Amino acid sequence: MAWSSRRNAVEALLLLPLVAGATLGCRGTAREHGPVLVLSSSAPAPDEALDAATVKLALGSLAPNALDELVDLLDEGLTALETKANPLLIDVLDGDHRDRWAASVARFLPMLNAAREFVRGAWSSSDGLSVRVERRGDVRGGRTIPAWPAAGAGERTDQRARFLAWPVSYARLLQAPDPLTCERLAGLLREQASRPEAMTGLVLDQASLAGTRRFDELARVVRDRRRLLARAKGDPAVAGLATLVDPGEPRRVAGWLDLSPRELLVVPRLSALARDREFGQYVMRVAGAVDPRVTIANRVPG
Amino acid sequence: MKQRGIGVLLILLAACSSSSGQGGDASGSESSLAGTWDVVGTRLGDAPVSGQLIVDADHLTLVFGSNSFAALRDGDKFAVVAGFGSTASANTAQRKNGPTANLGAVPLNVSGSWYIASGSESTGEMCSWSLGVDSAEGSCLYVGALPSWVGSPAHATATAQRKLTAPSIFGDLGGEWQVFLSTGGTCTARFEGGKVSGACSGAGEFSGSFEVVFAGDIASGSTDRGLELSAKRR
Repeated sequence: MAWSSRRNAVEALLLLPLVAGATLGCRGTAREHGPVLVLSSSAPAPDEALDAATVKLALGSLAPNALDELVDLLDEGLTALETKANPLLIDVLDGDHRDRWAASVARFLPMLNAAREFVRGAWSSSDGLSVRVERRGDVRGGRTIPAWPAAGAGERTDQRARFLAWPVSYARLLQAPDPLTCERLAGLLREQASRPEAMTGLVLDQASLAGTRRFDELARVVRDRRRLLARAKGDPAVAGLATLVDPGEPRRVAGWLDLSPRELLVVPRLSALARDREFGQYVMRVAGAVDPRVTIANRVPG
Repeated sequence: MKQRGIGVLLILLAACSSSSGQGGDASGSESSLAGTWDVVGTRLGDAPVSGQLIVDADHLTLVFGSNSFAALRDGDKFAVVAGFGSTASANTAQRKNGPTANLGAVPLNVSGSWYIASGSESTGEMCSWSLGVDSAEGSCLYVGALPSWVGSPAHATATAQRKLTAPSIFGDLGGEWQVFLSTGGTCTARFEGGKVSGACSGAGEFSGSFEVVFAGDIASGSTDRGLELSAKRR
C-alpha cells in the first residue's frame, strides 16, 4: 500500500507537466497573454553557433520544392568539388550552377537568419540594453513587458526592446478552426515564403518547435559527403546545412511558447520589418484564402 | 556583394537616415530622419550583429560591429574618422560650393561640390564628388588603407544622371538614376516614396541588387544575396 501510494505520487508528479501543459493549452497562456520580454542591462547574450535544431527550423519553413532544389544544388555543388579534387574527372558544372546555388541560398538565408535569432531568445543593443523572451510566470528579475502588447506601442524603451526581439514581437500567431486547416495554411505560407520577394521568414507549427521534423534526403547528402562538406564550409548556407551531419536527438526550441495543433507562428524576415503593416495584411489575405475563420491572435507593436 | 552588400545598405541607411516619425507607410512625406537608431544587420555565415546610428544636421556616427564611421561638421568642413577593425583613417571633407539640392528627409545635406583630403597633408586630395539636382560625379585619386571588402576606389570615377523623376522623401533625389563606373560597370538607383532600390551589373563584387524601405521610425532592406538589415529610431 505504501508502495502503491508512492507510485501514485510519482505518477502524479509525472503527470503534472502534462496537466499543466494541457491547462496552458486550454487557457491559451500564449494566446491570451503571450510571452514576455525581460529587459535588463546585463551582459549581452553571447552569439551561439548554429545547431541542427536551428537549421531544421529554417528548412521546415521552405516549400517542399524549394527544399528539393536546395538539396539538389548542394549535391551538384559537392559533386563539382569532388570532381575538381580529382584531375582525372572533367568538371561538367559551370558558373550557371554557382548562380543557381546563390539564388537558392539567397532564399534560404533570411530564413536561417530568422531561425537563428528566434532560437537565440536573447538580444542586445550596442549600448547595453539586453532583452530576453520568457514564458509568462517563469521570470525572475528584470523589468518585464508583454512581447505582444495589449494596446499602444508603449514607452520608447519598450519599443526598442520589441525591435531587438523582432522574431518574437513582430510575429503573427494564427489560429485556425482545426488542425487540417492549419496544415493547409502552413503549406501555402511556406510555398510563398520560398519566393525571392517574400516577407516571411519562418512558418512554425507544433512539430517545428518540437524539432521532430525530418529532412532525410538532405541528411543523407551531407552524411555521404561529410569530408567534402568540411571543405565547403566557407559558404554560409553550407556551414548551416553541415550541422545535419550529426543532428543528434530532436531538441525542443523556444520553450517560452506552446503551439496547439491549430496554431501557427509566422515570423517576418528582418528585411521586412519596415513593411510590417503590409506583412500583416499579406498573412491575413493568405489565411482568408484558406479559411475566413482563421484569426490573428496576437497584437504586434505597430 | 558579400560584406559589400551590407556595406551598401549601411551607407544608404546612414546617408538617408531621417524619416517621417509616424511609422507605417512610405508615401513620400519628408520629415527628417534625424535621430538615434538601433541597427540590426546580418552577416553571411555568422550571427546578426547590432549597431547604432546617430544622425542630425551636424554629425553622423555609425558603429556596427568592429566598424565605425564618424563625421562632425564645422562650418563647411567635416572631420571624418573611419575605423574598420584594426584599420583607421582620419580625413577632412571640405565643401567647395552648395548645397545645390533639396535632399528631403536626409538631415545631412551633402549636395554641392566636395573634396576629401587626408588627415596627413603630404598625401593631399584623395577624393572629390559633386551632387546636384540631376547629376552627380565622384572620383578618387588616392585612398588610404581600407578593408579588403570595401575595395579600392583609387583612380576610379563614377558619374550619375537622373533619367526620371518621382516623388520621394529624399526630395531632389526622387526618381531613377543611371550610374556609370569607370571600371566598366553600370548601376541604376531608384528613389521613390520611402523606398531606395538599385542594381549593378558588370561591377564585380558590387554586382547585384538591393532595396531599403523607410517607413517612419523604422527602416529595413536586403540584398539579392540574402543579406538583411533593419533599423529603428529610438
